[in-house]
Amino acid sequence: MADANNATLRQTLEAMIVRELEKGLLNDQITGERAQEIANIVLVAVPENITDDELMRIIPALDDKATELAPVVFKILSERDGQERIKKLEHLKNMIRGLQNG
Amino acid sequence: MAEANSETVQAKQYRRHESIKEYRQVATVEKGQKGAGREHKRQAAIKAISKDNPGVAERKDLENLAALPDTNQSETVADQALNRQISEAGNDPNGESGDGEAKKIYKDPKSDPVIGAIEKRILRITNSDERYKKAVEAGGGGASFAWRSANFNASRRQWDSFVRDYPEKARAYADKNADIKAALEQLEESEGRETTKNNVADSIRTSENSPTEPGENDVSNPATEDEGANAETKLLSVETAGVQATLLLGGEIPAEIDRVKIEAIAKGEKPNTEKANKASIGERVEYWSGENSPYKNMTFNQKLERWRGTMKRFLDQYKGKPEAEFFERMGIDLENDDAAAEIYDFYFAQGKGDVGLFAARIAENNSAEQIQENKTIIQYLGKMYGDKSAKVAEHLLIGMKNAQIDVDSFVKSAEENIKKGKEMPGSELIEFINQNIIKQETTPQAKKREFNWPIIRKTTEQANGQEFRRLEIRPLYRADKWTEKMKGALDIEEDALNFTPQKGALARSVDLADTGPDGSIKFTPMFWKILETNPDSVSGEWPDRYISLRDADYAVRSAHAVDAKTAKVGRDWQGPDNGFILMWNKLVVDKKTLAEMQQRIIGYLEEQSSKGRFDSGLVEAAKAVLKSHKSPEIVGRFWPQNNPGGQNIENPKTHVSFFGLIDDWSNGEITQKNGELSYANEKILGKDKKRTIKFVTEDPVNPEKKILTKEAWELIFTIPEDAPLSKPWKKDREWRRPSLKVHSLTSPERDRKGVWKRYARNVSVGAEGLSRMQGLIRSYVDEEVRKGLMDESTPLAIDGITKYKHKVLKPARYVTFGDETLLGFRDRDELDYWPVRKFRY
Repeated sequence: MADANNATLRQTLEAMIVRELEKGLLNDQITGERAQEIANIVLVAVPENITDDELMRIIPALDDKATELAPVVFKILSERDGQERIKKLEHLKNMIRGLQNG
Repeated sequence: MAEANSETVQAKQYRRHESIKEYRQVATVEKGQKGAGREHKRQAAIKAISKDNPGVAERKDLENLAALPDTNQSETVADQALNRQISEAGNDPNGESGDGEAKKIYKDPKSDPVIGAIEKRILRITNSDERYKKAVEAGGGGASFAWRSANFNASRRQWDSFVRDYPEKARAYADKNADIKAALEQLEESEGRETTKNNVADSIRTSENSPTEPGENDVSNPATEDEGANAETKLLSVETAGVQATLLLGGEIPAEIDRVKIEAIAKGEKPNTEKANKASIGERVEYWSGENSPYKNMTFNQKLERWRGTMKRFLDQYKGKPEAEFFERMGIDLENDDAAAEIYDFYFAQGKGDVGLFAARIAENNSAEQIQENKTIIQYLGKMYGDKSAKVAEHLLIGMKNAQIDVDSFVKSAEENIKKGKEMPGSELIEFINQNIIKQETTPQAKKREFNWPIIRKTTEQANGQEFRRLEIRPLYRADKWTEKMKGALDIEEDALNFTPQKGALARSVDLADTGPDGSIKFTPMFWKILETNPDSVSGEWPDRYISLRDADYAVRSAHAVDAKTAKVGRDWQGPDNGFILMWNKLVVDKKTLAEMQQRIIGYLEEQSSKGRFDSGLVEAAKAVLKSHKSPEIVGRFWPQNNPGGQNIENPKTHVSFFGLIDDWSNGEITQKNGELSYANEKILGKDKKRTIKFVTEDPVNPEKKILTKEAWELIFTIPEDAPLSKPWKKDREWRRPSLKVHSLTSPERDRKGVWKRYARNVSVGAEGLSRMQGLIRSYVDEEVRKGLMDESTPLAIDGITKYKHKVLKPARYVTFGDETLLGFRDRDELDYWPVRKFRY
């Protein structure tokens, strides 16, 4: 399950990176060479068989190597943070309910 | 390219303009970036991220992007990406798996991803075409023209590959896509199969043929079908193969056809069309600006307008006709009103009037059959280079085509042809392009001469850092004298021979060599004049004391700049106070000074040769020139009083008249036998009459060996293009000394007193004749050296003179007298007509 999630997360990450690169190339914000460099960085940093934990450790570091990936990293981490917050809030609510129920 | 049937002309033009617009947008963005490479890389990167194929995983996109090589290969990678796309779309087109996109037939060919990929590739190749890019950068109307031409070529090649790789698809889509149909028919034709011909909807075919069976002729053009069927295997105009090959190889009839060069030209290498281009320029100048030209008083723009109008009228007659396809293959859109302007831009503005470009364009875009069919159009179009140049162009393109069809047969036929020499069919074209090398512009020279001011080298006055600058020239219409009496010192510095008279007097210089724009060192006319003049040609006693050296105007100058007072520019002079260079119009020396100058030059050449600056062949040539001063002269120039002989025919007396008649050696046969050049022309001279020049004689120092005579050296020293043209004498001309300082001798004949005589005649011959004489002498010398009868330095000297003088100095300027242009000097001091020598660059 985790790996399936990872596959999904990895695929989502790759899809977002590709769209970001495409947008940058079409709007002439980045050059072809830079796009190639970024693709290389991503391929090296995110192998196909990467685990969940490793992926989550790597994603925040991606924009250190390529600032063009910052929007992608921000979006993914924001979503993750949002999901985590919801989970934790739910957990808290459950704890409070449990305490209330005695 | 879309189907010709369904797309309207306007839509086609719009699509083309959109493509040009797209390219221009890319080009504009590219200009803002640093270099075209980045833009190409960006485009390649975009293509690598295949948004058109949503099924491809994003990881694959990243892999494609990461796999892009460096900028220079971006097109190849884009091509690879497209190939990958095509192969993914078509699986393995040659594979045995069979099923898959390779054989899948779509109802609408446009839905077929293979077709889509190929169309993209065609567009990419078109927009990357170098000529098109240059045309866009250059501006003007040539860009559309170049785009269409590049698009046509790319389209043809890609569809040819498509029909070979996907035969089933090709057959299925042939009726819906005109390009595929044309490529299929081309393939079937080349494989010798019958193709289906469609009269009505077929816009590709150039003739209206009904479906034929083998042997059935076309009604409209009975000869074409037969010729067309065999055109690809049969050479075109094989009777002129010799001329075709000669033109492809540069314009001089070779002893042997250079097969390697012909093969290279067949594969696309550009032939040497320098002579043909010069000849074309000559024709066009004559046509537009010649003495008898009705257009000579028009401005350039008026002439251009006229040219365009004529071309437009010519093109308009073929609108909507089958011949339009020929023009389309040439990249000419007959519907475009600016077609004539685009033709001019492409072939003359950018193409620089290169006949070879025109010929190559037709040869690469047309089959042999198509060339035959459109011969009239080709011949007319070729006339934009000139009437005779049109024929040159025609032979060039036929030669290129023949080389492509069957190089073995072509070379063989050409070799058989050239054996006929001047009898070879079409040889007048070779003569035409070679003659035009000699011919200069015929417009009369302006009254006010334009001096070719030399750039003066560094002098002490220019120590402020400027190495070269033009200074004011003060010409002095008199000779400068360098004599023993002036007690001057001779030295050579920076390729200039300096003569400094007594202390404090103005130093003079003669430039011996000049550095051309290409960095090569070229020796000046005065260099050769100093070496070639024999110090012993004057006695040294009054009045025969001095030798005049003049081969080019104002070759003597002051070594340094002088002030206005020294230059005596006059009180009216408003310019700067210093910075004048004095120039004398000729140099007069005495024999001792001349001898010393010659020795200095030899020493300088040896020194520079040891440093590697000059070739040793030049040193040998210079030494041989000095040695030639001692050569015996067979026919003396002066009136011999007591020549021996005359008693019998075997021992005739040599008779030199004071007023020598001139023999013109241009219209006859020049041969060599036993060290004598002979000229014979039965019609002019009579039977058994000939003229001879003895060019070899016994070495007086070593009688067992032979040396060249003074006559031989005179012939060798003369640049062929300086040789006088025929008929130099006219009633209204002044007496002019002949350029060849050589006498020939007639066949022995008896005078009234019964004395056997051989009369000396002056010789006049054109460039071709003189070249032949030089060649005959050279061959004889080789033979004698081989036998050990002649010094080995002699052929070296001849080669050195040819290489460093003949091939370096342009002929002296031609002078126009009335309706005839001749080469000559005037013996008066008239600045208008003094010839000026320039270097060949």
